[in-house]
Amino acid sequence: MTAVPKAVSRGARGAGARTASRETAVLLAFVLVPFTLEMFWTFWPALNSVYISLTRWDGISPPVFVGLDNYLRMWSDETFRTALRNTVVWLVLFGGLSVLGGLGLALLLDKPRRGVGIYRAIFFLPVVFSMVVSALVWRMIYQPDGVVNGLLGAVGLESQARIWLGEPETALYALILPALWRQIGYIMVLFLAGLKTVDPLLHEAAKTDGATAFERFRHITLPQLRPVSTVVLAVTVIDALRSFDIVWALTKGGPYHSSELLSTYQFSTGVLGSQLGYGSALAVVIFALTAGTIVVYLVRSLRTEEAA
Amino acid sequence: MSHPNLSRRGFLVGAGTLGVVSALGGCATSTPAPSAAGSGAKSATLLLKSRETGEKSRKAMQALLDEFARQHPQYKPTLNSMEAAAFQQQIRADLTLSTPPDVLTWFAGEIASNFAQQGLLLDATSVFPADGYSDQFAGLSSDASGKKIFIPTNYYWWGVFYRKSYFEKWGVSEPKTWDEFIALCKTLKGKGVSPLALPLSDSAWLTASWFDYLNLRVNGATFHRALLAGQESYTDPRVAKVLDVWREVLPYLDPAGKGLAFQEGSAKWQQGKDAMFLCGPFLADAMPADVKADVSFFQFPIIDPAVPVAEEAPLDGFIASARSADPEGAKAFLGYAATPAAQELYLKISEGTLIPANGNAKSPLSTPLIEKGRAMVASAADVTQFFNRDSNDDQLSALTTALVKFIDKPGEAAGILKQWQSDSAKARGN
Repeated sequence: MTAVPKAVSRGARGAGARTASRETAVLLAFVLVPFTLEMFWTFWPALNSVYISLTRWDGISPPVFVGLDNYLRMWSDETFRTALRNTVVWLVLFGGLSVLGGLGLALLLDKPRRGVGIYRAIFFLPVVFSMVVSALVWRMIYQPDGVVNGLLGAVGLESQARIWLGEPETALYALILPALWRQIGYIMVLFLAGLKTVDPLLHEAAKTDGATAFERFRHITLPQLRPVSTVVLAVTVIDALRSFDIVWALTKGGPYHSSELLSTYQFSTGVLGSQLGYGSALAVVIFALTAGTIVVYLVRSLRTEEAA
Repeated sequence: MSHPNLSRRGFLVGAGTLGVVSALGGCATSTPAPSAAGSGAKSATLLLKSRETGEKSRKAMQALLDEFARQHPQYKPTLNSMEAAAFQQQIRADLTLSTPPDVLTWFAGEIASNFAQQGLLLDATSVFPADGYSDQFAGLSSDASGKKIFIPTNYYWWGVFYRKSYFEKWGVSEPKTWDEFIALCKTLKGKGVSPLALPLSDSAWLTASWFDYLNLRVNGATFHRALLAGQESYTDPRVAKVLDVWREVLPYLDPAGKGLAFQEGSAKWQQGKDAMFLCGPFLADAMPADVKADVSFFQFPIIDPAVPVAEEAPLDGFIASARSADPEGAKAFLGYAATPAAQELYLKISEGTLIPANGNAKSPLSTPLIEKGRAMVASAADVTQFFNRDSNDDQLSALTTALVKFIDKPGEAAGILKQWQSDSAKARGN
């Protein structure tokens, strides 16, 4: 209690200094409190998983430090290679097609027209559904007696009927389709928002100068979309590498790992299984891939911005 | 020694962030109980953590606790039910907590032995009934040194399930031997009926039932156990023989099976589109009463009469934590759970197609199906649990990869077995 008057008297000597130090304290609190929380909730467990990835640990007995053994094991692990290859295929097909599809739809649905809101809503609708619920519907579509095979039969293509999710040749692609069905609507909305920022005067000026529709798209729309493209790319890469729900709900990575992604493989070894060390090593690899791809792109786009 | 422990605890703090969420989930499913702390009297609290979340089995578990509390008023037991998958993931952490749940539901097999080996389980030898359990069940309840660490309460069995009315319609009967079984499959296929159901899309683990039984019938339980324990290799010619025998029935599996989920597969079997299903009695648990009355099964056919007959009888029950704050209370409950009265009470309310593990207990809801299953297991020379109970889930994952591929490409058996052995060894950390 005796300390209080002292502090007050010291403060009274210079009100300006007091305000400044209070601001510093508040600012520090704003930085330190979230940092501490983040440290505790995010960074600490994340750092721990890096440590665990260097051990062999079943979750019960004490972990054994094995150095980089878990990472070396990946090279001889055929399932890991399949999962890595599938993840790359997924990144290219799911990422590429959803960006192209989303941009295409956004361009089509950008101009105000009668009923355009309804179309936008239809394409956005899949985003609203939980992926697990969507998976139930797609499961019915892909069933041996399901919609796809029914349609093929109706047009006389019975010979093309397959067990789409049960055959290693088709399972991965049968999973990309529902994932795309959802993602395209999402990317479309991002691009629609971006298109709203394109100055219509530029288009009019170019039109007056006799530029064709493609030239205007190439030289006006695309450059103006650059900021939103960065967001789209980051979102797409992250979404592609963390894709898990649709795969887990429909095939669990099967049949015999043919539709395994790094995310599902990580889940089944580290979380469902009892190989916490190897599972953590897989998680670290996924993190490195995600962070790496995005950093490379960000650095590149920053450089071009500086150059411009 | 202290360093790895410290860092492990550090990790657990991190993992605790996830744990909070699941613990909240646990609260949501737990039965409201009077707050135990400071409730006066000398009644000691006892926490039972259960992975039975079905409405009836939860009620049955609560009834078991109520009856225990009535007989032992000095204890105040509370029930915490958690969905089985989450329960299974947390049990390792639960058993290493400083204040663990006192009693937990669990099953006999490799993982329980593993826990016992780590010194995580309470010695229940003093309350294990001298009379009532078969030698096999008593053996499955013991650790390596013969201490009892598990109290079995009920079990089920595996067999080839069929519907009596359909077998009558098709004019066929139960086969006893492998040759009769193959002949039956051929007859059924000739009549345009798909002989065997094996839905794989969400339940590839069902392939383990085929492997277990074929291996038990061809090579016997001793080899089977050694193989699962990693003492024998999957590249052994005896394992190749198992796949050779299996190859004979592959043409009779429903080809749509690899695209069907368990629910869809069992519905197809219920409608008679697939004639037979190697499964446990849980197959028909959710089916209408008239179907249940029509369900029967036959023992997995005998392949080599020289091999002693073993059956799969997955055994459920209770374990107690070695770190329980009240080991006497935990043991009192285990002792009660071992009594015929307790096992009958539980099965009466839970209504599953399960058989009480204590031989002196009667099935409260006896049906011809249950008695047939009980007689089959009782007459078996040996009893196994099920592939993942006799090993673990990592080994099961190696098995499903190998066997689903084998069903698809039966010609590549040699390569598949080599891969299986390598996956299995890696999962073991060798």
